[in-house]
Amino acid sequence: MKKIYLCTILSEDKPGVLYRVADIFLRRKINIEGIISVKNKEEKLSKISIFVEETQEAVDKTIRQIDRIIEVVNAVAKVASIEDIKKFMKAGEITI
Amino acid sequence: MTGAQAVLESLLKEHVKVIFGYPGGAIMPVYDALYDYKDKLNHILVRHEQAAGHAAEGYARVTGKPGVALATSGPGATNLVTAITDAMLDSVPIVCITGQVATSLLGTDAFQEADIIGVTTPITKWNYQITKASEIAEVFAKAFYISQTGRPGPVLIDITKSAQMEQCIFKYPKNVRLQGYHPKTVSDLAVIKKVAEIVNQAKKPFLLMGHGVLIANAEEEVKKLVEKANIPVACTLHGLSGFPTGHRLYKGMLGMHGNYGPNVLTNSADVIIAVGMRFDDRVTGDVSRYAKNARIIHIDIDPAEFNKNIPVEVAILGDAKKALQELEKYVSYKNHEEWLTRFDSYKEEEYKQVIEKEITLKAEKLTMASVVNLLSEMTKGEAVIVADVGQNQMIAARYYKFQQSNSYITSGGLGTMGFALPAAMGAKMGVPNRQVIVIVGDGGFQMNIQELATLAQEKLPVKVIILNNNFLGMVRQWQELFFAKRYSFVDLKNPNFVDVCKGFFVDAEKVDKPAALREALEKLLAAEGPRVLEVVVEKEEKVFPMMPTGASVSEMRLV
Ligand SMILES: Cc1ncc(C[n+]2csc(CCOP(=O)(O)OP(=O)(O)O)c2C)c(N)n1
Repeated sequence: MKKIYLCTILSEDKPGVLYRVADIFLRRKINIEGIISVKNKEEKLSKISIFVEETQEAVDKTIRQIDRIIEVVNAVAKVASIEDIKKFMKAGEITI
Repeated sequence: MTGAQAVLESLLKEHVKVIFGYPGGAIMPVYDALYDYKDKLNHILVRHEQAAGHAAEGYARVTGKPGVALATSGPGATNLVTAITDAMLDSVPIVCITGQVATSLLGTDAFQEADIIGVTTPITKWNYQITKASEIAEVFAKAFYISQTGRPGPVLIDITKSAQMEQCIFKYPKNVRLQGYHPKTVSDLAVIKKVAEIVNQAKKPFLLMGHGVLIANAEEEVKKLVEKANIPVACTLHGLSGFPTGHRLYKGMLGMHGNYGPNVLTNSADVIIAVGMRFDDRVTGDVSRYAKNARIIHIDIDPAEFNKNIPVEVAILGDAKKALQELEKYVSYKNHEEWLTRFDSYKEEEYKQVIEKEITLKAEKLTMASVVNLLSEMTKGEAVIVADVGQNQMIAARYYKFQQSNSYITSGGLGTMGFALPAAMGAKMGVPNRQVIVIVGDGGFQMNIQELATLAQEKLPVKVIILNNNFLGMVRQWQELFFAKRYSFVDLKNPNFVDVCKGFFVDAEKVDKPAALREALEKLLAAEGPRVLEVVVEKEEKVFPMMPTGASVSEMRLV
């Protein structure tokens, strides 16, 4: 059964990581519902949050492939809570 | 020093001895620097960048060390793409270095600018664009480290022309530390013990070994384990040569055109130990009917492979060598004679229905298998066989009796026609003292045929056997079996191969009578330089057994 998952990817802050991550979703024909990438200056890490609507199995396989990306320090996924989705919607409204 | 010199110094730090490459505008500073490194770095000038990539693969496959390919920007770089993809699918460590337009011109559609980082992102383990000379040492250290550790793979370094010309201070890092990359995992002892227990309880255990065993140099460990626990073994296409073909426990090759017994009995096994293999669809057939009676143990260095195609009960993450050494301590000898003899009846049936008539030299026409069989006998199974793609590849895999590891080199994952000739050049550079023999079809030989010029220029004693059936044989076989014999664009009007080879200054001979084969092979093997033997074989031969697409392993066809 498909559910909304929140994938959280911590990676070294290097160019090209988001490209590789997006490509893995693309190859599996998984549509990205929402995405936020934020730099954490102190730890020199980027945190990429991605929402997808998929099955547990597809998400698990995708996450393991994402974890293989050299710069990725950690990649996990969980079923998104209402809170997660609300937070995300709010972040999407921010204008700079 | 200049960035270009830093590139070459980095290669020396990585103990690189040979580079396969082709020059052009955006890589000219590196080529200019190479002029002064001739005595330290052997550069082989190929005739097409794709061949540089495959040669680097061939070198890596026989030596276990990364192969290096060098090309210019734009078309030079894009010509590498097939070889890079090939290396990605077959886990081959190659380092590709491409020139790029000057940093100030990036993104402007400058002359010979191609976004090779964008192009190769999905097909590399890692890639990086260098825009400043000061980055070179660190990026090269990373690239070599990443390509050969963990699950090996291709990396690409793109260097702008301006970075090649800039001055820099060269300091090569001693160690590489990457925050997110820890390829050396140690298997948990509790997991190993659990696996040993499963193996010890098994009545019909079966070990499937793949390329990972060869990459990890774990051939001896597999042998020790199966001998101690008395378990039959089969190899995937890339696992071939990792286990001596004459061994009592060796049961043959898995996969679409593999041996009958090991494929069919996969579905009878009660425990499967899969080592360094990835349950490729060519091995599993229909996954919903694959090994349903078995508890599956998967040993691999790449966690993304676990449960990817086949659900596994226990996964051991890590280096196959260490995992097998540990596992061996806890397994015990079991009498599996009844199970082992089950393979024999299948073997006999395959022999009677397929092998016997394939390998027997007939008076009139040569079969592909009879050629490979005689070659195997004459070389005592000790040569490095570099096979192309198609029927020739499957026949070479089936009928050459390998005695030594790292001896069957082919394009498995991508199935790249035109792979064999350039890959063999690389293999020969890697193991100059071994006999390196190409087995190729008449179709595949015409892809990258230009490398005959490289062979001639380098006087590289690569030996080539063209199995000429005047067809794109494997496609024809499929058209015969699955498309009602509608032979759509598979017959070839070939050039006179002997003349073509001679035109390239490579000695060549043609044989079409079985009686002349042995002598022709003798001449081929004894030649001091490169030599080609064209063997005219039966036109409509088919490779059997065969597992049709969508069939289960137990539905292998013998005819
Ligand atoms: C670059 C490339 N193009 C197309 C194919 C599809 N293909 C697979 S086998 C084959 C026929 C090969 O014919 P030949 O080289 O004569 O070898 P044979 O099968 O007759 O031994 C083709 C066209 C391929 N594998 N690679």
